[in-house]
Amino acid sequence: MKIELIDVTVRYGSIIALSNCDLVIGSDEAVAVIGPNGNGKSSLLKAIAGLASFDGHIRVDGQEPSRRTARSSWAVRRGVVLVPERRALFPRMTVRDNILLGCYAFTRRLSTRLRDQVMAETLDLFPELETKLNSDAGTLSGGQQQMVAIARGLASRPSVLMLDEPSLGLAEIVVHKLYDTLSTLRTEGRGLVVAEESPVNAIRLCDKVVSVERGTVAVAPAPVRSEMIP
Amino acid sequence: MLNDLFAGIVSGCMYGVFGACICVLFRVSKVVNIAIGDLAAFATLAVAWFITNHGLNVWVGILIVLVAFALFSYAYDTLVTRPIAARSSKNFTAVMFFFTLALSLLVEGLGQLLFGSEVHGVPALWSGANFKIGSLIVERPAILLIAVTVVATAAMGAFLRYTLIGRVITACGQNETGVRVVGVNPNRIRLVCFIGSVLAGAMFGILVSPLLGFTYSSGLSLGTLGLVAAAFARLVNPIRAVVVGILIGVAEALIGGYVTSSYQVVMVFGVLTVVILARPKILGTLGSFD
Repeated sequence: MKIELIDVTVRYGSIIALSNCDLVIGSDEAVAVIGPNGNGKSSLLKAIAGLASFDGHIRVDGQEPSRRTARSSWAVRRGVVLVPERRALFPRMTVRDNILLGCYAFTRRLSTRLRDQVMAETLDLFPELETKLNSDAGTLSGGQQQMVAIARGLASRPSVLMLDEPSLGLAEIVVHKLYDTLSTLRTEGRGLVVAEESPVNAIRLCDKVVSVERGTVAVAPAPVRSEMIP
Repeated sequence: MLNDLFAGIVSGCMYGVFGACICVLFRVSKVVNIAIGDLAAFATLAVAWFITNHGLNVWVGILIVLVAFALFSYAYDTLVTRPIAARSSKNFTAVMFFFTLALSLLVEGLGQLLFGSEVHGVPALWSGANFKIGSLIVERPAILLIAVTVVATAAMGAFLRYTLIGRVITACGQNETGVRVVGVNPNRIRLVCFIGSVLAGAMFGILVSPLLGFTYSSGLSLGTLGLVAAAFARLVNPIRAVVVGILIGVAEALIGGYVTSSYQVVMVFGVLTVVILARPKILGTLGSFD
């Protein structure tokens, strides 16, 4: 699967958050999106996920949605799934329900078999959640909430999973655990796009680095990448 | 006493169902539809008008009105709710409350213009002699109304709790970004719930009309009592709204039977005010789940 951005510009009123961006992301790649806060990383991911309106073209496998189709729903059905900044969980629903809602991407019926399969995959990746499945998501710690958000994203069966600031507000030990999990996903061949303000972990994980500064996107060449890792 | 109690349960079903409709819509979209009662009254008057003035079969009349209401709800959501949601996310609930209040007044005025001030009712969908159980006289439309209320409430509860779409409806009211990243189009879910709640309200109005009879102005007080039932259910729990609605109906009937029938509604609101003042926590935080 291939995501193509052609001359994409994202505006919020008179402010240009992302300017004339051209980029190609493959489902066999892990892409780190780095850059200072407020420079357009989130806008880039939101545009790809259909959460931000833009000028230009974003194609998945050469196709774009029709005008009447909600772009965010279309992107998810095409296998492009975002784990948004601050997770966007449903705080007064259980962890189990939060995760199972990810299945809406490909089905409207939850069979017992599908439910068991999704929960087994989740606990395989995040065994810490086993005792929390019936708790409200809003009662969990930041790290646990991030796990739920990733599990919900994975329940959508994505070809490319995009994570916006996954380590934001988390303790260092939790961040390491999180990146271990992302590394497992990478080993399994999952396409990843990780936007981070503090780039070290993301650069280590990924094989392509895209820097976003003042709304301008550039793919960092290999020597620059190696300089970025201490 | 038994007859009063039964009459209270019947009118309470009406308040409860209106309350449940308000809850489901608020749960998904944060819209409080105060016009639900007036829309139901208008639907009833329209069906009665088709039957009386054009000699249509009752089911044909109901079908025409429900289709017209579905189209109207679609247009209202597209032309009013969606643009407001896009513009005023912070004050959306307050703004929409006034818009649905305006809709309520508009529908009431149209009802008076088109159908006059007389009391109208749709013929009973289940007609025949009343049942007598001791001193209790039970009309067939009342049994039908209670049965449909119980079945519809149980079905709605199971739907919201056990199906994926039911979970989506709950999730829509909690985090819009969250539902969009799992592929839900929240506008579509809100539209479906709006149409569904308006049609359910209209259908229950038609069901209850052989018992209560409607005028153009019946809707607002019914909708307001529905809103009270919904408020006791924190605007999110439709099952509780139905139960509270029935309790309100029973209280109203007992006040009418044993205290005063002239100030029945005033007394009901008085009792509810005392209950809320005595136990403010009963309302909890509107919009919060248990």
